[in-house]
Amino acid sequence: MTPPPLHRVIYVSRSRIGGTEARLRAEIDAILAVARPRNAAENITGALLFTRTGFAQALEGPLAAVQATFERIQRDPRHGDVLVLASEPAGQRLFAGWAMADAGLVAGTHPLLSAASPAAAPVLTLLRDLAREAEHLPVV
Amino acid sequence: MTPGTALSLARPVRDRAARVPAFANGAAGEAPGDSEDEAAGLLAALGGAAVLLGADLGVDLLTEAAARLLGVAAHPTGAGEKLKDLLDRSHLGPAARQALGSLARLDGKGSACLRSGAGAKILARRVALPHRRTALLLTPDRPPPEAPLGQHADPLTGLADRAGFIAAVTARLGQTPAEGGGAFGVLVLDLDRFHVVNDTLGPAIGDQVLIAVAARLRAALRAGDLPARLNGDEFAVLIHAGTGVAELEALARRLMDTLGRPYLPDGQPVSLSLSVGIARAPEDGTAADTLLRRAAIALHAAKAAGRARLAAFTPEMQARSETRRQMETDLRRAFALRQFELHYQPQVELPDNRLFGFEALLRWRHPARGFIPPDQFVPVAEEVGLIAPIGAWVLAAACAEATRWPAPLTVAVNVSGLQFEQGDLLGAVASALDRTGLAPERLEIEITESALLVNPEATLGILHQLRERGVRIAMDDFGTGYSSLTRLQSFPFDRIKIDRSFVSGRRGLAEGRAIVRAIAGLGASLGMRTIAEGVETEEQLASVRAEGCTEVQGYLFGRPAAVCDLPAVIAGFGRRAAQVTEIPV
Ligand SMILES: Cc1cc2nc3c(=O)[nH]c(=O)nc-3n(C[C@H](O)[C@H](O)[C@H](O)COP(=O)(O)O)c2cc1C
Repeated sequence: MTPPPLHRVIYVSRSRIGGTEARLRAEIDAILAVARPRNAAENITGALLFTRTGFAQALEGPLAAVQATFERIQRDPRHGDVLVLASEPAGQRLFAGWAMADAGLVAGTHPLLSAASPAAAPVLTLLRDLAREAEHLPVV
Repeated sequence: MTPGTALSLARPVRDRAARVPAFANGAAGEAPGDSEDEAAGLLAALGGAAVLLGADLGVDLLTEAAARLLGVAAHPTGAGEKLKDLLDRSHLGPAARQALGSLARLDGKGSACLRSGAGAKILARRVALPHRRTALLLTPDRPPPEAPLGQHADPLTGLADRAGFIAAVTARLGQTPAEGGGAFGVLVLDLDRFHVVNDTLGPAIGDQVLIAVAARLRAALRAGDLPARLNGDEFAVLIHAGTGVAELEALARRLMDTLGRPYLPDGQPVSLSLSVGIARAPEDGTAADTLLRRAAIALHAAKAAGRARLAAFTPEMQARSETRRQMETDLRRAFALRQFELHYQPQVELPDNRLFGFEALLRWRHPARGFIPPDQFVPVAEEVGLIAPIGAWVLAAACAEATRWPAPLTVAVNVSGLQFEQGDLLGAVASALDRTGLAPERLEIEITESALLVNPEATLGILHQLRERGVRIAMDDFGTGYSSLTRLQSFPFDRIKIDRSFVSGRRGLAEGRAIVRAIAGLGASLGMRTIAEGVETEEQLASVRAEGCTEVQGYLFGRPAAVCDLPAVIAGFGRRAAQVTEIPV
């Protein structure tokens, strides 16, 4: 059986988690603790990056699973002002093996993410580079 | 489950504890198993989800409903399992497990809202029982089955339909506060520009979005609130509790936030915003249709103030809405009684200030209110579907008038974007030309950029057909709206009309000049003529001329004139042409 075609979504959003960096880190850990088993079960891979003000995330997997996961994330009050940078068929997984790579905290506000409408490609590259660094993601 | 049933669940347990005091201290009177079974049977019969805990937080009883909610296999009796172990094998997340654990250890009454792994919310209440025993009563945070809508369900989204909503509001209005009635709120939500989604991505995608909107709406509401789909992209919610204006506004804002986030139908990102109107019972009405109408009036006000807004109904809105309705009645009467007139403003070609035509401008002479400017009544006419017949009349009257002028003087007629959608514009133009015999080249249709925004393909198709007949096409008010170069290139316009605000210097003299220069340059390179509007002084004339405009229009060359004055105006230009003087640049 051929696997269903892959789809990838990249978005940025504004964080609504207030408080200290430690609080933010704890909340991210909680998000990842929920996300990872869930994503693994749904065949979703990806990476999540956060700054003090926002998130950037890539989700890849079968379209239906990506849609369902994305929809769940949309309902999350911990962020808002979601802007989809790209949503398109993906040839191959860029985060293979990572149910949700923790691309980590980028100090301050990353210029790429605070732009009015960031371009998808550089954000994806950034996610990949940081995830690879932080999680020793295999180089494809 | 209502709080009432929760208490009645606790009672048999207390009865049992009272009847079997020995159970707690180990000295059995009645066989504990019997009474366990009895309580379990009662709870199961009531369909209640409960966990009964001993003083040591050991699980005495887990009802089947509770096992289902927690996602664990039910076990008939306590079997000595500790609450902690039960929670560990449940599908609750760590936070929820911790919350339920702390709730159990609490003294007295308490409650907590948990999220189960399946995503559903569970409300947990702690009831203290005698002998330091505890009942944890669990309820899904919304009534398990949707309120039975029967034939009142919207087939696409499964929400209540308009009739179901009206019925629910009516029923609610009939309840006394003791029955859970009293004050409540009605929200009407409308997806802004949803038709664009349908037009550009197709109705199948549009339906997917509507289904997703309904699902988010349902998930965002509390138990007791009733969501409905009234029609198309219009939704409504009956808000059960928290019905102060500030609370309703906060809720509306929350809905605007979640429902306004992106959707991914078929993997394509779709962004929407929504507007919300709010009405409250009993302040704003004591009949369902009044409440719904007033929420809709508030919605209308929110939309009029710009999209992605909310507004709560006020009596002033009602007054404004009545004025508008009056305007609508007056408009219909005006149309029937021919209270509309066309005035004509000269259009002049540079450099020799030669009259080449007139722009037809619609005037409404109201018997009581005098002249009403088009910007006051055209939006109402558009809204109530009168713009197509009025537009057809304007075309016919303007063409008829133009046949009385010496050829090749032209007449320019403004056409609303809605005429491309609502009316048979091609038919109206054809019939005006055929009936009057005006040469098509002498008719110019002016459209605004926004007309090209809504349904560009269809609009461009109509423009091309007009052009094939020989009619000229002008782009009106250029520079004020979206001013996209691509739109200028999308059609070979005969003429670009430069908005008066750039000519008058209202937007800054230097900036205005620079824009006039840019548009004139653009026109020249695209082979389009450029006409500057609102030229009132010799200085302005000299300026737009220097910047390369090929034509002008404005008070300097004449105000809009009534039909009876036109022969004199035309004659005046003839005289002026005879004694043309070069105006220094
Ligand atoms: C920035 C951000 C990224 C998230 N990423 C994921 C994810 O990749 N997978 C996932 O299942 N949940 C993710 N979540 C958590 C979801 O929003 C949601 O809380 C979780 O899926 C549980 O949903 P449920 O309570 O409806 O079951 C993310 C949340 C945030 C704020």
